[in-house]
Amino acid sequence: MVQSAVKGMWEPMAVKKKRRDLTPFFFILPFMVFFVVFILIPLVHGLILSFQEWSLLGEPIFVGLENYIELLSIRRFKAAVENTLKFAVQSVPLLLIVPLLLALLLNKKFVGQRLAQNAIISPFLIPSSSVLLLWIWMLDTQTGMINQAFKALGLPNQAWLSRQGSAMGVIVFVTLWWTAGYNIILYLSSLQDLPQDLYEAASVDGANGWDQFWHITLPLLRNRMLFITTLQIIASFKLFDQVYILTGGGPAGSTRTLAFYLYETGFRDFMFGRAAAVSWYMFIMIAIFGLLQAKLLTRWLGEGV
Amino acid sequence: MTKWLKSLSTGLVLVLLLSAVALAEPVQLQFWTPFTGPDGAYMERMVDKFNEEHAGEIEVELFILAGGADYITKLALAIRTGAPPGVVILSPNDYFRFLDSLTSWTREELIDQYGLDVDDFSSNILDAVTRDGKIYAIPLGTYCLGLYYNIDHLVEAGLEPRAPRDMTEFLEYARKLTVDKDGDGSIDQWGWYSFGGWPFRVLWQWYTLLFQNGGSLLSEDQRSAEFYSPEGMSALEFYVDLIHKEGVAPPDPADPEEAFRVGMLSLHVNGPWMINLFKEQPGLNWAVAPVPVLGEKQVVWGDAHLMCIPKQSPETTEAAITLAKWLSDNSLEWAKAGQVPVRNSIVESEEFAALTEQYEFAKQLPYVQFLPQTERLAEIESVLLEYMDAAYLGDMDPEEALEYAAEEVDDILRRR
Repeated sequence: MVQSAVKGMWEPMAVKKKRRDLTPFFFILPFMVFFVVFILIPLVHGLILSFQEWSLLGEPIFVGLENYIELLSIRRFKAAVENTLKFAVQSVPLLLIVPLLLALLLNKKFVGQRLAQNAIISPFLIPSSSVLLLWIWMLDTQTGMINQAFKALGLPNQAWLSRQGSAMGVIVFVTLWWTAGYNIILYLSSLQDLPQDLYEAASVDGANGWDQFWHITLPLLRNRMLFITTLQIIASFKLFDQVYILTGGGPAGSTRTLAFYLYETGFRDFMFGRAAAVSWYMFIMIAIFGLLQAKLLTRWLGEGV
Repeated sequence: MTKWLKSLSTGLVLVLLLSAVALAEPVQLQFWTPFTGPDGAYMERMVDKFNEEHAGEIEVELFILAGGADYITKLALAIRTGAPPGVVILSPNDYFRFLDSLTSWTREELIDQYGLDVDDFSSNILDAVTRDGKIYAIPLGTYCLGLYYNIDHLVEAGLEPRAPRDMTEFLEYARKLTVDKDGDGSIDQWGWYSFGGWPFRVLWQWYTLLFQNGGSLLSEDQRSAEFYSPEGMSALEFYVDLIHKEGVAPPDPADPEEAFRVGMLSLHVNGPWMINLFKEQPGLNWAVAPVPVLGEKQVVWGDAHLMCIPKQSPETTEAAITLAKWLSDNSLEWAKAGQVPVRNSIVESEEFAALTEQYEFAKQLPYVQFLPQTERLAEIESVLLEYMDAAYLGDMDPEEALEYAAEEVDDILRRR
């Protein structure tokens, strides 16, 4: 009797507490499954692997920090770090500024604007293997199209991919040609969102094109540029395809980047533990650079970011 | 109770019927090969013929996979996950990695149980697959370098239309064959390309001369590099000098296969797989001969295609050996793809002699030398290539290049 009375007392309150709505959970479930299986688990496995020695056949052996310590004394690893930094230092500013200039150009109305937009932007949609195979044929020293053109113009044959000086430069250039499109789209979308009345007011006040660019456009693009720089740094640290197809790490190892060294260590030399350690060094480097550039760029581009 | 019995007996009958059907099915075999070139088509035909002859008993599915690191990784994964191919083609440089997972036999087992004529195999290749008296693979074919030469170029240069046989002749040929045809100051026809294109050829030409000089790549115990020696240095110097001293090879890397095909290059070394490709080139008047003795003795670098059978169920293993034996017995067909068989009876036959180009390669069979089998070979070759590149480009002299390479190779061998 008392129980039912008590129950009756509490029931209204129990009814107020709605059953938790699970619908949102089901919406994100597919992505969560993908994320856990393809990103989270391999991430954790990679970390564990970096403390082991494993050649794929046979069982992994625990070796503690040995992989990390070994790498610090391996010449190729240090060279790979250097080459990766060299590439990043060359490609990040280029891929920040050149697409901006191109986007400004492509934002103006002129005859053939659509065609120019499509032509300049679309390379990034082509998969890396197609793009790079094309370039490697064009760049061949004896039979490539570019040197044939040079010959016709009376210029000397260039050994594009086989001179230590030019190989990295060629990779930077091909990367720029191939991936600028993505950044151009990001810039274009920002440019097209800029409020036009600011420019009208400025020209009324006598500001010329350059002033308008420097004092209106650039500050308003701050966020976008920060975003692109972060993406670009991460992407440049992961450079692999171009090295794999164009130079194979050469000439004389001058284009061997960290990602390529990782591939060689794991998949060619079957030292998966060491390769995992390389990947975690890469993570640390990207994290440091990412945070650094966020702080510096924020300060340089002004407050309020 | 009766209902149970009924369904149980129906179930049993069904299972018996199904298993009877299953037993009658042919054994399915996967055959993994790296024959991505024109030789792949020949292997396809051979496998089709095998399937015809063994219809109902064995069904082979041919896989042509790109070679290199990915091929080995795929195999390793397949073995780990318990689904290995029935037969897989491996090089002696890779197969030893998988020794624990491969089926092996004694010589007697192969002869008595499977009827495979083991003594018919070329002896140095049989040595390469035997460990502790057990044979770990059935060799399919071997390949080594041969000297390809453009007959028209030789005749034009006033040379005898045959390959040079020693260092003196080679240099004479290379000099006379390097010509500026149109007088514009740049050379249009080269005698040699020292580097460029497929990078491994750069190593193979050097290995050949290193071995010809009597040198070796690694020490007996494989703990240190042995190529930083007079034999190794003179071998590298020879090819570097062809560029910088003799001027018979271009100073920048370029693909010799392309160049030979279009008549820009007169001499080059390559494997037998180019035979059919060059045959198809209209207007190319070419031939091939054993590699000249540029050093002290007649040796040539070589490699092989071994048929390896991963450990698996007895009936699949039985079927796999049947396939391997059949392919070996029929390796004359395989020779037509531009390969060199390793069965002496076939190599000495008339039909094989009719394949003139392959025959030239086969002449070298008795003195083909394989590389030392070590897990670190890929890494070692990568180091060698890097320093050799520098030497060829003139950024380092050959002695320095080999010194640094040896240092790094010692380091690699020490760490593992």
